[in-house]
Amino acid sequence: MTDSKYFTTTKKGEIFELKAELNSDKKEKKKEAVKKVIASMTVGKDVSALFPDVVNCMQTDNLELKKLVYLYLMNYAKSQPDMAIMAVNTFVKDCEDPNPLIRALAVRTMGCIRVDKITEYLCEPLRKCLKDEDPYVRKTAAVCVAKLHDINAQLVEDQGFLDTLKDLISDSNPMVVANAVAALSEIAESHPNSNLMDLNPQTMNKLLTALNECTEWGQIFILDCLANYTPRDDRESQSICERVTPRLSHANSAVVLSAVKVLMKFMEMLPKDLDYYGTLLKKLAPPLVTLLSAEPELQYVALRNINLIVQRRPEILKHEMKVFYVKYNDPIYVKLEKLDIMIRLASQANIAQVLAELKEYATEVDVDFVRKAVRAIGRCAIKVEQSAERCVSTLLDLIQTKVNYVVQEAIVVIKDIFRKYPNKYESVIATLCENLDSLDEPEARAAMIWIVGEYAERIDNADELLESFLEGFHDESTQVQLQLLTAIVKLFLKKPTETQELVQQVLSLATQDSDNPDLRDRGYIYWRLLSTDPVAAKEVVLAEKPLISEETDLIEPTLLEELICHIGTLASVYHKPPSAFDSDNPDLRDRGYIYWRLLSTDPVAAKEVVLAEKPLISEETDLIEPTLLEELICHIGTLASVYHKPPSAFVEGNHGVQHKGLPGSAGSHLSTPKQPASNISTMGKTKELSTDIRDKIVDLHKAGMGYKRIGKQLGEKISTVGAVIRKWKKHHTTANLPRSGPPHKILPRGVSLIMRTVRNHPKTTRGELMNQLKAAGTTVTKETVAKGTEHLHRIEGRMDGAMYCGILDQHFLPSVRELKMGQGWVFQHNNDPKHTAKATKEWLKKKHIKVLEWPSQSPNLNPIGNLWRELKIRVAR
Amino acid sequence: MLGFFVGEMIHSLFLINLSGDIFLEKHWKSVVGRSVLDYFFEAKEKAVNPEDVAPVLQTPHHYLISIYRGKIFFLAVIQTEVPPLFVIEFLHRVADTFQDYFGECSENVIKDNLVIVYELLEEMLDNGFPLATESNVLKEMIRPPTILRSVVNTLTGGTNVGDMLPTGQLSNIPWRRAGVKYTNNEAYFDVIEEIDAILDKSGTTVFAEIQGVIEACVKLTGMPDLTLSFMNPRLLDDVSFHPCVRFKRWESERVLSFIPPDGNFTLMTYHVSSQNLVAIPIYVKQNISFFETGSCGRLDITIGPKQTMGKTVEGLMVTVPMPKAVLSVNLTASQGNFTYDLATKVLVWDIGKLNPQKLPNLKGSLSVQAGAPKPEENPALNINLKIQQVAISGLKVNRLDMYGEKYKPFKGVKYVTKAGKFQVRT
Repeated sequence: MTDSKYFTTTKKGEIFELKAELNSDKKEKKKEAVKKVIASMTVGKDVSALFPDVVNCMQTDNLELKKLVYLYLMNYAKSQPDMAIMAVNTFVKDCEDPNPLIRALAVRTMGCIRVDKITEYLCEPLRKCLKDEDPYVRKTAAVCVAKLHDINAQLVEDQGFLDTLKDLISDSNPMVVANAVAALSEIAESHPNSNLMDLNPQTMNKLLTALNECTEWGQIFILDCLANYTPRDDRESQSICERVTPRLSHANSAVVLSAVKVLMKFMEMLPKDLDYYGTLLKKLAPPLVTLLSAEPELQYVALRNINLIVQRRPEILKHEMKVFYVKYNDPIYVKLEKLDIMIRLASQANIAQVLAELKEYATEVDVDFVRKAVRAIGRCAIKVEQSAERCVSTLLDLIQTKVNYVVQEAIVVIKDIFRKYPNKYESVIATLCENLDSLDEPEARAAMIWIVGEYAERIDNADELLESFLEGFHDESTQVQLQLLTAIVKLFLKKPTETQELVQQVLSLATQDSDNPDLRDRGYIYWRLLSTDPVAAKEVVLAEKPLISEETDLIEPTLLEELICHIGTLASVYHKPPSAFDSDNPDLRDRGYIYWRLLSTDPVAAKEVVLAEKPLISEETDLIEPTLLEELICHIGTLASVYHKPPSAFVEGNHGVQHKGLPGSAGSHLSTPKQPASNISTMGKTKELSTDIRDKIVDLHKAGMGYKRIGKQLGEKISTVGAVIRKWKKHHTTANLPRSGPPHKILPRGVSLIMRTVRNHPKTTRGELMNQLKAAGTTVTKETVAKGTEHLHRIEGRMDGAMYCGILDQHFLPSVRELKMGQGWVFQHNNDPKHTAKATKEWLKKKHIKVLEWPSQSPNLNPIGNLWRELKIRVAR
Repeated sequence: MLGFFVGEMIHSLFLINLSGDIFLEKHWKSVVGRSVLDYFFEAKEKAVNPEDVAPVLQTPHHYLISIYRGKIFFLAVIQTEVPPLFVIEFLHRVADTFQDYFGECSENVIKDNLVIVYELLEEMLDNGFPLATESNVLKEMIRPPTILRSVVNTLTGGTNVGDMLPTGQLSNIPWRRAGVKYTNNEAYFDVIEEIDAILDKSGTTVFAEIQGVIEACVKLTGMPDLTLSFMNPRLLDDVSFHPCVRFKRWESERVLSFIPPDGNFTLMTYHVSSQNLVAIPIYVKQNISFFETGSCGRLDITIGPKQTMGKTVEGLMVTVPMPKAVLSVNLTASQGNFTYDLATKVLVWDIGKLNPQKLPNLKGSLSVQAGAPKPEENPALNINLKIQQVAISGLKVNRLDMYGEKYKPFKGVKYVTKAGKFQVRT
């Protein structure tokens, strides 16, 4: 007898037929009908129309039928709240049933019906069930409190259910304790500040006792709860560790990982010289190794967490390298994780084995994996200095295989090795050059060009090689073009006589025939450098490359700390810090300030620092930042540990917190007060989505729809949908944000310099100002500094178009008159929204003011922008 | 650790077949639209094999955690920070339960038993909290659909659901029900060991370890308290126990002391790691090579006994996934049969018993697609084998004692060694 027969009636009258059957007098027929209804429900068919008929079947002694009706109710009560009320009486009655199974079923189902009206009736039965004599009912009721809290938190607090729940932690039955803990943790999650889980030594003791006796799932809840406790001293720490250690031998891998989390966290508090500390370290390795023989999905999560653990405490697994060896039928996601951990564990002691393995992997079938294996060889070379030579020879062997993607990957990797160990392995260059023709990937081509440029003096036919690339210059990717430009300039500086023509050719290709601003900027900079001061050019382009710090990619210690506390969570899977989701990028800001300071104080030093090409690559480029690692370790076993992001990254958009409005452009007006104003932008801004559509996108997104579906439904591109949603997440608005405009020509500091000087010595000439600015590192023309001081106006609040016109009227025109500028001037201002506002445009027209057209985001009118761009590019490397 | 969405661990469950049809969905709270699965389907499209779909996927509002079992994806939709292992373990437990109830875990069998499946899911998870996942307990609440029971049900009007509260939920030993009675009291233990190994071209062991498991079938009356001891328990590097095993006794005396569940269960799993010497029962001499010209290659494999502990190696089988360019094979086997699947390019050589006097050999030529470049990758050999009456690690059960009951049970221990992930690189 199978259930597939329930699908045979797919004709139109199905619902009517079922209705008739549900109202049949025969019990058997009724039951069959309910089964058919449930079967339709399971495959996603809408059978909600049958609600009253199904509810009518609820009053029955037949447990199976009752269960089925309850199943149905849970599914549809939300959409039929009025109907659901009909069922209340039966629920209340069932909560008094002599059979504990029915009592539990009733209270459980009632909790699942997320209808406000029902919750009022739920309170009394729930109170009774929480004190039921039967532990099965109590444990079900404990979970029900969490459900009710989710529907109506206030009600739960008013009714005192939270206290009852806390009392259940002291229940005699371990399963009840576990469920109470789970329910309290869930409630605490939505009330971060409430003192629900009052973790004190007494509670801890109760939890640890229950830990030994409750079900595996309960153990996970309790262990996760324990992880939030802060022991008073190392003795308490040790005693908790001792009582948690047996969980490492549990058959359920989630229990094991949660136990690892607790141990990793409490271990921090143990003195390292304690004997027990060493014992504990030894006990951690075997269960972690065993996790790797579980199903691949479990392995994956375990590996992501092990990745954190080996960064925090490499000693735990340092002898277990072999378990991370890749089997050819491992799923690809397991293979890649294993590879990553192998590199983290690589040391002088085991590097020979590791290299032999990596070489083996480089002949595998899966292309992605092979590539990563080749890269791994390079990372080994950078990490373990003693192995570099061996790595290089392994890579050369791989190049001999002539497998195209292996060769390309190997060349990219060898470039990195050259950067780490300059002038050490150039003997291999000849072999590399043999493979020049087979390179078709931009990264590999760029790497090869870099090598040729860097070692141009040792390659006899360097000019020919580079020239051959030049032929298809415009078809190359930007990466290759930039690299080629730099390489030829290097070549020219090293062998100026033979390559004059070549350098001329590349410079004109880069500056005149290219519309790529990056390339053009760099071309101009080189051109100017070479034409003005070849000695300086040599110094700058061929400068000794400074080393960069080794551990750039480890997880930040504090973050690692936090993640370790959340081992086993989602955060520990993603290994990402919350800041990764922050809106503005402090990194960039900080760096900007540093450069600014550098340029203003010591331009020569700045040149050396900034223009020094390609810092040596760090050995740890793939490590997680130390703080992030720290945090992730705290989250071993969580989703975060799989994605290596901190748990807080998983908080969905903080709806409560409104982003502060971006600062108005008041500040920017102070910094460019002299800019002769205005323009009517004609540069094509693409058609904007109406706010309606944007709101609709966000609504659909909130409803859980994917970008793709939204896009299809509204007929917009996926990328557009994504952009709107990202913006909404970041700024909580769909309206247009104030636009940033091009970078200021004179930076705030320059402005304050001008203001200060002018304030103190109102007679300062623009020439003097210009020179001062130049000393501070900003080169501008006299005109930019402006023809004397225009009136300054303090702007209160946010400026709009009308206000701007007022300012122009009151201050700008008198200034023009005072400065005796005559008729031959042009007003120039950027495309700030108020500058382009209708009111402003009309005002300018009325006053017959000539306005310079200002292309949007134009770097050309902002000469210094070119330099910033170059800086940014270099900084980004 | 704050989740914005308050809610259960597992919000919804979808069962999806290989062609991407959703044939079952269950929502524990609100209904999550199927569109959330777009992210999963995207990942599935990209993956070469269904096994390669990453088990944890991130979407703007949800996390999708999936496992692949019996050609079905079990996919859980998550909204809060949840230990992913918790979810994965639970999903495997669901699949195990289906297997246990219906004899197999496949799309057809699930479709045939939709209502029971739905009831099971409801019983296993309440508001995201696992409720009853022990097979023994579940079977008392929802009876499995045996043919016999179906007949009886129709005759007597009985139902699939028990109305007795499962005792296991109440006692301190959730794995055993009270009042068990048998006329023949018996306790059998199977010690099963699997060798996971990687051998390199020259036959050297790159990596080897043993995964062991002790499966028990205990049918004893009352509340027996058992003690199982080993001759050499120090062999074991890592152990995991069924919840019934008293961990303290193991820590102090290295014996397994427990009140067993009723029926079949896994008593313990253990691990003997590569640091101890793992015996490799066979050696493999192989040569698979392709020629630069002439679009063909050669294959020659011989297998011989190595450390077999004096027992016969049986069920010997070699599986070779060939490079895609290999069109056909022209081989002769000195023993056993071989097949070459043209679609999957897998060569299977089923040898059977290993005769030390006459070593099995497979050799001949491989023909490669004309004009195709010489295959770059090296195929790896996958070995299956079985050795009865021996645990390759040398683990031996010393004795089994029973306390708490007066009768004399019948006791038995069986050993078997198998190849697990046993690979030979070429």
